[in-house]
Amino acid sequence: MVRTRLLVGTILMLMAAAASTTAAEKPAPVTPIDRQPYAIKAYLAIDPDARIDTQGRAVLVRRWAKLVDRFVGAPWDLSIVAEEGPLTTLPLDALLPATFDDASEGGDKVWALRIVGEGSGLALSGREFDTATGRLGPIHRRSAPYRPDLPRDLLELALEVFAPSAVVGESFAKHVSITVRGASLETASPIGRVVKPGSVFQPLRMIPGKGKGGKTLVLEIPFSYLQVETLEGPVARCTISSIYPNPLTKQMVQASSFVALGLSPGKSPTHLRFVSKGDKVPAAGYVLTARTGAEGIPREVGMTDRDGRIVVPAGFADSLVILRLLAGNVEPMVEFPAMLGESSRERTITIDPKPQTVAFETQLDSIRDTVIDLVAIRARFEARLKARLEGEDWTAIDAILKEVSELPAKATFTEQLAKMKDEAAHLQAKSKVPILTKTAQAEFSDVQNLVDRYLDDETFNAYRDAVDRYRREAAAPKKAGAAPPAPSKPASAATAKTPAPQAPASSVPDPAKTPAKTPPAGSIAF
Amino acid sequence: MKASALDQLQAKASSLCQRLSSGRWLVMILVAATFVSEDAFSQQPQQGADLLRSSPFDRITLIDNTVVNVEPLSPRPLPAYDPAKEKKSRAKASGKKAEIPEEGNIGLPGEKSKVVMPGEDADEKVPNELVIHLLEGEVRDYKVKRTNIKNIEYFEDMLLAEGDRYLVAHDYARAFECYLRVQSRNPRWQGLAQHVNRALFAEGSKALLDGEGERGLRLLGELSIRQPDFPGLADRLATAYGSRIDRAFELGLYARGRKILHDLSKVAPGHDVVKDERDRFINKAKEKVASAEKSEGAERLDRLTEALRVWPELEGASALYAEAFKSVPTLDVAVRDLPKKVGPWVRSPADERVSRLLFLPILARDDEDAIEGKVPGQLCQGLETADLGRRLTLRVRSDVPWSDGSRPVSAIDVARALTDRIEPTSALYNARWADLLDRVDTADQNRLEIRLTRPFLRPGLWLLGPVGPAHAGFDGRVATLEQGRVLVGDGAFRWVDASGRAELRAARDSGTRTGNNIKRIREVSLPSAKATVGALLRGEVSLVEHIAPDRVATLASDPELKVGRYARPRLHWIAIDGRNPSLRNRALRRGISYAIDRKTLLEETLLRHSAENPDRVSDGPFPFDSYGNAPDVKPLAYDPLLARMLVAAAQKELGGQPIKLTFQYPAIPEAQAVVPKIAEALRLVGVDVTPTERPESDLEMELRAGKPFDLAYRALRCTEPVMDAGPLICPGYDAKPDAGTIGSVASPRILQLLLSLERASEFPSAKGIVLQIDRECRDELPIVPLWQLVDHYAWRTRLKGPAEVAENLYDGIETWEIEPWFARDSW
Repeated sequence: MVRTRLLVGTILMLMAAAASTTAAEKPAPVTPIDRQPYAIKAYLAIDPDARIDTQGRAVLVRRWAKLVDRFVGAPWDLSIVAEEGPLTTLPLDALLPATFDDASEGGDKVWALRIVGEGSGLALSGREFDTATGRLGPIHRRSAPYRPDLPRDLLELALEVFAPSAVVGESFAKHVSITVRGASLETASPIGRVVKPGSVFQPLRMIPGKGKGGKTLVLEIPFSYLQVETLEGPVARCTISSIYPNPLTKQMVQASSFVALGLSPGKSPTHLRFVSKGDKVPAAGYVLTARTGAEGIPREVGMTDRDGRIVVPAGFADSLVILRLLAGNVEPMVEFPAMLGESSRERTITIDPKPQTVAFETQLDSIRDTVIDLVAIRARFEARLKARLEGEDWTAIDAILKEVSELPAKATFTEQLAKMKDEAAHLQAKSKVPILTKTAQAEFSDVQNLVDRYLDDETFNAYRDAVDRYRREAAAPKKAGAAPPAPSKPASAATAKTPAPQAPASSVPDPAKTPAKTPPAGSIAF
Repeated sequence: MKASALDQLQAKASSLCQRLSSGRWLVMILVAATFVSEDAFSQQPQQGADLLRSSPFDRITLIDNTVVNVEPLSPRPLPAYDPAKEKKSRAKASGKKAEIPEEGNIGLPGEKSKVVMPGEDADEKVPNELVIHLLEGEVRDYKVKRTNIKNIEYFEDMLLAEGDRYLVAHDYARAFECYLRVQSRNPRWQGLAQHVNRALFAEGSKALLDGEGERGLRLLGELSIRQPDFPGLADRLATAYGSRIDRAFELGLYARGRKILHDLSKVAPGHDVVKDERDRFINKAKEKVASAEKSEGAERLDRLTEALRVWPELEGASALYAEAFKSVPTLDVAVRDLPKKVGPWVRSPADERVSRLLFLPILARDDEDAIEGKVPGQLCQGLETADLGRRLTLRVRSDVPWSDGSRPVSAIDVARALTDRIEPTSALYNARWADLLDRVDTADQNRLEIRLTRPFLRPGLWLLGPVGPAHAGFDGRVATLEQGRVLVGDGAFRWVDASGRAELRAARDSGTRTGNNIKRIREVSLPSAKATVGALLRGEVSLVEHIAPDRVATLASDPELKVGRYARPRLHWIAIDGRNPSLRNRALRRGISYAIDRKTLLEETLLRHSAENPDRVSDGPFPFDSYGNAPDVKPLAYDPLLARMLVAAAQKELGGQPIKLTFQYPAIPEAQAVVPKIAEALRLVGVDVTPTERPESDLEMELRAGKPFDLAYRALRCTEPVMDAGPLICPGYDAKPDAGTIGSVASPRILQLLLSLERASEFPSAKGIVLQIDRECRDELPIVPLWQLVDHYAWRTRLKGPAEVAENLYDGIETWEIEPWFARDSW
């Protein structure tokens, strides 16, 4: 009995121990990322010349918090930190990620906000530090001309400063899905939405550190952006805009994951510098254009200076733009997406100057000009021939045809173009440097089409035939000794074989009809 | 006669009136009668204007006061008839026998017998009867005894009287017509000359009163030839000439005044006015001489010059002048444009001309001798390169003092000049140099090290500019107590601030000066090429910087002048500002190029003869015989029809708005001649161009500073294509970065070539790029090339030293000599 009782007791004790172990080993339920709010710690520094005392500050903070609740709500867990420190004393452009180390504890985002006096109003500025990625966002600025509206302006600033985080999911072709943190949380108003179509995210590669205490390496994927196309709940389907063909590649030695951080255009000028790869010679005198989206209309931004530098002024665009650097106004050297103003530091981009391509295209331009001039001259001759034909002035027609024969023939240009292309192809093969780029080939085709279409001698040949016929008819009666018949005019349209030499309706090239992928520079329409 | 005809007609009219009851018939008849009567009388000459148009007639008044108009009598005038004499001769003849002359009475065949019959008087030749022919009437021929004639009014006298009436009415033209008619009928008519003289006097006086001085004097001058002692003529002439002399005197036109005085002395010699005016000139000249005697140096010379300008023949003045000139031999130069804000910089062609005299460059030229310090007129004593051309060590001469006597030129002055060129706020700023220079270290007083950011193919080309003192202000001047801010230099001449002209004085310590070496240069800018040549011919200037091409041959043939030419031709082109979006349109630029008929403008407007090398049409930005000119470039054609089509196409591409451009051009003879024609040619093809003339220096300074423009005419020399390509094609190529002039090159392709040329470190590749630029400029058209012309300068033979071929106007001026000379009157 005692043994039985002891055995039962032991079994019961073992069962109880097993139950407690199970309870201890079972993990706590994890909140999905899309339902996780952002713990934001805001360090607000008010400059004395803003003329806001302690009580005013308290009122401001209270009202601002109220507005945050009213317009944002659940996604933000905002706390305003009262303590002084580097985040409240250092200028915003002097802040470094290391400055936020102490403040990162317990927060997902740390905001450094400033209010200073500006004339009769106030000026607000701020920037965000993301603790997970260690990224310091751009400086955002606003004016608050009316003091009573300061809480609202502070809310607007906060909305600009805030950068949502996301986890990058599956990518396919030029699209990728991301799950945005806090996207499932209901916002108090549409203004507070964490993500919406058109939002831009910057992808980051996270490489976990080795060992237990290893620091995660966060690498920026330069000139790569994810732009939200559609939203399916918390998941945003994004278009990948990148200078690289596959920026989210996983084909790397180290395992890595991707996260994305929201971006909004900053108020800083964007400093760019272009240098040629290899010898790092500044790409001076190149034209930079910008367009919004793949199908947008390009606008000229400016020209690089002697050092290859160009500054895109603040406020140039309010969304992601595609920048393109052109050589000779035609050949693109490089094309890349950019969020203007995101950073005030200079970014250096290397390019391949493609000197031979540009020289090739310049030659094509020259040939095109010659062809256009020739077409205009030929059109004049055609008009004169038509007039002489109507007056049956065969001598004049003959003289004009002689002048026409002295003009460069179509074959000259065809041969020249073929030779140019062969040389370029040969050089390209030999040097293994692309010369016949897409643009160059399109321009080549354009010029070739011009030559083929407008330097056709059919019309002049018809006039020559008519002159020959006249001569034959004039000579034949003399041989036969009979009265010469009246010289017949060139066959009219009723004669199928030899159409009447009629002046074409439009004997000059209309670039609108010229088949060309890209409208070549300098094309004219009469 | 007239009265009886009228009476008859009136009688008929009145009888007709009695028959007709209606008054209007009466009016009509009377009107008809008036016409009839006028017809009847129109055959009769009347007074007034009709005398000029009417047939000649004479008017005889008979003793019964009947006046008849007769055909002109003959002879004219009739010999005077004395009735008393006739009576006496008749009485004499009645008792006389025939008189046989002593030599015999047998005459030759056809000859009248010499026997005087009784009743005849050999002395009697005046007939006592007159046959007259009336102008009207059925019977017109009458004989009238002379005794029955009271008065004969000849037609000539009537005309003369009519002329006098016109004279009184100030209708001089008609008065002269009357006198001319008399002259055509009978040039010796009595009284004609007097009438004409009176008319000349009246008209001449009136003209003078009306302010037509030239005309009045011409008329009175004519009178003085006809009748020098005409009453009142001398006084009138003296008054008229005197007022003109006074005016010329007041305006300072002394040569003109003296000429007028000379003319007066010919027509009214001995008149008081002549003496008074002459004394006036002489006194004025004497005043100036007196004032000169209280002065020294250049001021003395200037005052003596002025005295001789007033009265060249002033006794003793010429000797004083020659002596004063010897102390300050002065060269007067006519230039196209005066330099503005002179300093140790070159911002315009005028600066380039003058700065060589005021400041020594680091290197006089970019060759081995200069680099080794063997060439005079430079600061460099030696230049060494190291580190593949990135490091230059320069030794500066220590024996060149600054003109303020503070110290000699040293390394710090050169260092400042080189570093000022990279300072954007400095007037010397040069963008290319700013990109090239790394730093400058002064090792000691006379040595400095220049470090470049990259090797440059010919660093010496950057050392040809002027160097100013390091202790000068931003304006290149040093503040002094007595003279304010003074331009301090180290060249052969010093700058003297003078209003209206540029004046340079020789440096005192210049050792090469002897005798009549130039000690003072005065530059003056005249308003036109014609005025410049006139000043040279009159001797007011001794050297002219630029002669228009069509005047070269004429001046070269003058024995008192010599003509030289500049070694390098001057290129002329139209600069284009690509910052204007319409000018970035390739079709528009091509249209502008096609619209200009270069050959015709060059030959017909500028040269006035066919173009011969080196004067020729340009096909690119570089001179024809320079290494930068690619030989296989086709010339730019002239095709206005094609131009119009291209402009139309460009206009369509640019949105259809009319194309309006400004066209600035310098006030140089060539531009003044051709720009209106170019503007007109462009208007014809559809480009609305507004030409604006500017002083050359102002225009160039603004263009080089990067000021926006549309089209600008430029005429400059290209000495070194690898260095000059950028500034030639883009005027503001070296301007400050914020001027944005890089974007002003209308062709991005050419801009890239220019920027790659800057980085060329060895000459073969640089030359290749330059040739490529030349070839591609033909189609890209960042500029519109026009032509190149050899420029000429001219000087009077009293100036010795200028070469027949020179790089710059003042080359070798330290050895030039000039003789004193002043203009004398030719009479």
